[in-house]
Amino acid sequence: MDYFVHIAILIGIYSILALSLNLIVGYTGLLSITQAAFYGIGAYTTAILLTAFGMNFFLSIVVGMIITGILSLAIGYVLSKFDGDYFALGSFGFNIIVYSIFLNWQSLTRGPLGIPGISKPVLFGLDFSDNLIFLILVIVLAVGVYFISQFITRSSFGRVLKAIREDEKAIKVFGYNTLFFKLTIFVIGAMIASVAGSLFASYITYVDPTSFALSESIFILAIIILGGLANNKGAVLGAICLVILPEALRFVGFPSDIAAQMRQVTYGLILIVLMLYRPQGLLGEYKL
Amino acid sequence: MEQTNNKGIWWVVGIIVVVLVVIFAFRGGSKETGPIKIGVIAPLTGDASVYGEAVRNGVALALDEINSAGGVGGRTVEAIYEDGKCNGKDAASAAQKLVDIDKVKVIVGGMCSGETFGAAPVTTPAKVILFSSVSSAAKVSTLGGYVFRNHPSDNLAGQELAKYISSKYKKIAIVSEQTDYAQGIRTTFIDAVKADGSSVVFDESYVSNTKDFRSIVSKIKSLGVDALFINAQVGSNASQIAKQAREQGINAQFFTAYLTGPEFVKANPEVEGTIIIDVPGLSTDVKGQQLLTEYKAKYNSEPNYKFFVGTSYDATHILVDAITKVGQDTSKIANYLHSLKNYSGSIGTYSLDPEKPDVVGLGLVFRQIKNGEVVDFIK
Amino acid sequence: MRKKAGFAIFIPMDIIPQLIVNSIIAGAIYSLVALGFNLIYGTAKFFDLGYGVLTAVGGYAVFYFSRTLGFDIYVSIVLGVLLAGLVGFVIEKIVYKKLRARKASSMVFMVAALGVMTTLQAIIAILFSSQFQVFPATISTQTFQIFGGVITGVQCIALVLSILIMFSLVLVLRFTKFGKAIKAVSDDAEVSKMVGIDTDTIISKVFFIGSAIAGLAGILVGFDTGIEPTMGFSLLLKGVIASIIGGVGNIYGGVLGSFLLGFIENFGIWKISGEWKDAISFSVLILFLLFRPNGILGKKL
Repeated sequence: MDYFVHIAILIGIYSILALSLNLIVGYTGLLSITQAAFYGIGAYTTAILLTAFGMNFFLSIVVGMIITGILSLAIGYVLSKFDGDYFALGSFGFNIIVYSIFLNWQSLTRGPLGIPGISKPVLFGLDFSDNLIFLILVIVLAVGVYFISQFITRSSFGRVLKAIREDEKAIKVFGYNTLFFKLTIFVIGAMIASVAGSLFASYITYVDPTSFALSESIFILAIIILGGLANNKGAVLGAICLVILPEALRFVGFPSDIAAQMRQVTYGLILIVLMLYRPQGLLGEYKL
Repeated sequence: MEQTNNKGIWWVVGIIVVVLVVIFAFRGGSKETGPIKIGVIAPLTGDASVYGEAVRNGVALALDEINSAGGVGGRTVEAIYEDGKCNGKDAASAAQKLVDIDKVKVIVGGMCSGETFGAAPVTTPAKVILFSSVSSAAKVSTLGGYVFRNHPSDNLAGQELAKYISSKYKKIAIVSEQTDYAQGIRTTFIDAVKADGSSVVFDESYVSNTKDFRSIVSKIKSLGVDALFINAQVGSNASQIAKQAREQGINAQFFTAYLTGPEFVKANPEVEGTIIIDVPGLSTDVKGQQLLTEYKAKYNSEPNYKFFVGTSYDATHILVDAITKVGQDTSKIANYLHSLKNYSGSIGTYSLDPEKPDVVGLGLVFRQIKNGEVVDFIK
Repeated sequence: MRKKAGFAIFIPMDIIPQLIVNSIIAGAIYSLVALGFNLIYGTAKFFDLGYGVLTAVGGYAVFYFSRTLGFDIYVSIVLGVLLAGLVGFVIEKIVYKKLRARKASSMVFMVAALGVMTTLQAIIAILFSSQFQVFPATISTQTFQIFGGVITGVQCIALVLSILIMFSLVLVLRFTKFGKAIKAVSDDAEVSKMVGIDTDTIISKVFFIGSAIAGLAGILVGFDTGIEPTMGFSLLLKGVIASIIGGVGNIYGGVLGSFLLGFIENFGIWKISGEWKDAISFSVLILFLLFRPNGILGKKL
């Protein structure tokens, strides 16, 4: 059953990512396509701290969150100057720049060679190298993130976010400092993504830049669009579907030399069909 | 105020049911009769799929031979190809599926070093053999007793080439692709050149999908170099660099590593004269030539990455030999592989390291493109 | 790794002409992509992420017609351009038109376009394998010297074509009824409809033209370097950056931005190592978004 545990762990990690992006895109209406950058910063922080300094995994999560928080504050500030489509394009740009750094700053990240040999977490003598125990860790964190998301979105802070999504100018008139709200949620979302990155690094025990390219940000966006924007249950549902989908397609008997390409075709068609016939996603309350 | 949309829940249930049904219907068991299954992990989609194709074709060719000769004890050998996408996470999923669901005992893979790093933590605890035919990163050697490879580590090509070039040329330029493969060679090359007392006056890298090298070439031209090491992984990139370099009037001697396929050799007249460091087989010896003839017959074209085809072909044969001789008990297979000496493969004759995932005794040779063909080069 | 020892601080004079030529070559290709992209953005008002893959369609069509079916190369080129236009036209009809009809938001368009790109790329890979392919070298491979810089025949053709197409589009937009209708739709689709302009047909035709231009760009890239299924995405990104720099939806702007981008990239990596090329391009994008989001020439078609 290890295969299923493995899939469950991936679902957990992507759920955390989806929830984090949902706060920014679904609730606040900021079309951010750069979440993979923060995911990557968390992953590389854990990778470097664990392999070069033997730091404790859980401590590295905290360090990762701090570094991501600072960087996302800067990036978010620049992005806040843009609106609508341009925000999306600008975020694209940042993702590509951060990816370039992962790829080219070889003295820090070993570039395309990646960082292998990342150890699994250890806490008070409890060793997480058993996948089942790691899964429990992931589930605990995912549930935690879920409740944090619910708390944020149901609070008065969350109401302001939704108001920003609906009509930013209007709420500014009422005296709300929208920049503060946008920046705060952007940074929170980034830090949560960083946690997912740390988990990823330790689970796979290897990171390289290809896991954090633009296509990964697009994938996370597709998850929350599928699941339904501004719906936290939807984010998790979307993660379940889109992680299981390529794995399920492994079992469909396409002829081996085009099997992999057929999976891509299927994935692409699903996106198109979804947008044509059910753009609010599976559970969405917010129609795109 | 979230509306729980019932339709959505049914979607999820539906998907999960379909998945479970499919999984249990296709579940491979380890039966005593029926075909023997081996796993293959390689990038079947994405930018690296051109190499994944080479690996897959090499494995398929070997299996054709094996099965037409009767298979193993009358049982045919089949490969289950899984897409590693040149990515640690996907290779881990692929390995997990092959080990858990298909219950294979041996896997040819990963191709990219990243795939090997992702798959090994899955295969080793399950005592499944992971035999990589392409991963060249130095750190693969640290992956332990159940991982093997017959592709030389980056160190070898970088060092051999550096030794030759620094002995004959003064101003050396190197242009490297941004892949783990090429970067590994780059670092060992530069260190070796420095150790020999020469210097590399130009060292830059480019992303794999670059087609426009003109400005890099202009920079090189302004330095007046006499040797240019085109450290590309993709033959087409290398041929572009060569073409654009000659177009801009650079007269330096070109060098590449392992690029003996038509994608480079037949690309354009500007690659003429390039010196290539290569594995001994696949060009002049009988077994290598035979492989290429079979490949052409089956796939109607010459392979672009002969090296990967050859190593994957060899890997398959080696693994099936092991199964034939000692059965599918993987600790016995591991012992067999670690004691494999002087195997006469399509890429040359070599042994496997008794402890680490390394290949031993595979000397590299120099070749050159003369009149559009690859011939041996006498130093 | 310190690799700049012994490097000139300033650009040596004899290299500048070549850098200029390099920039112009890059700019010419980008401008073709930007022209079509701007046309589509100007009328349909969304960033068509699937646009890039049409370059691959054009390229592979020529490959198929000339290599496999043995047609004359010029016939293949014409067919390739038409096929790319046709594919773009069909996709607009079956996907984007429906989305437009129910006034879907730009996010929906983007995701749908993404699906289009993924699907088409994979289909091309299935039909032709992922290997990089080169065209038969039948079109002039001669090199010419211009003020000390080297340029090939194909690159010259690309340059000439991009300028020709730009002027043709400008003439069409300004002097034909069709062109004026396009401008009207671009300014305000609602009002255009009310005035009796068939916006759907206009947009369909625009997609055809824009996609055909993309196909041409792909074919030229094919002759200059080669084709592979994923070639469209990076070309698209460059086209997007160029459009923003020059002015989104603006014909002149797209071309101006493309050449500017070509210059920035090629002169920029003189001092900064080549591997940072993408980062440079996108930093430029962000700078423009910050300080001049309407681009140098502004937004109107």
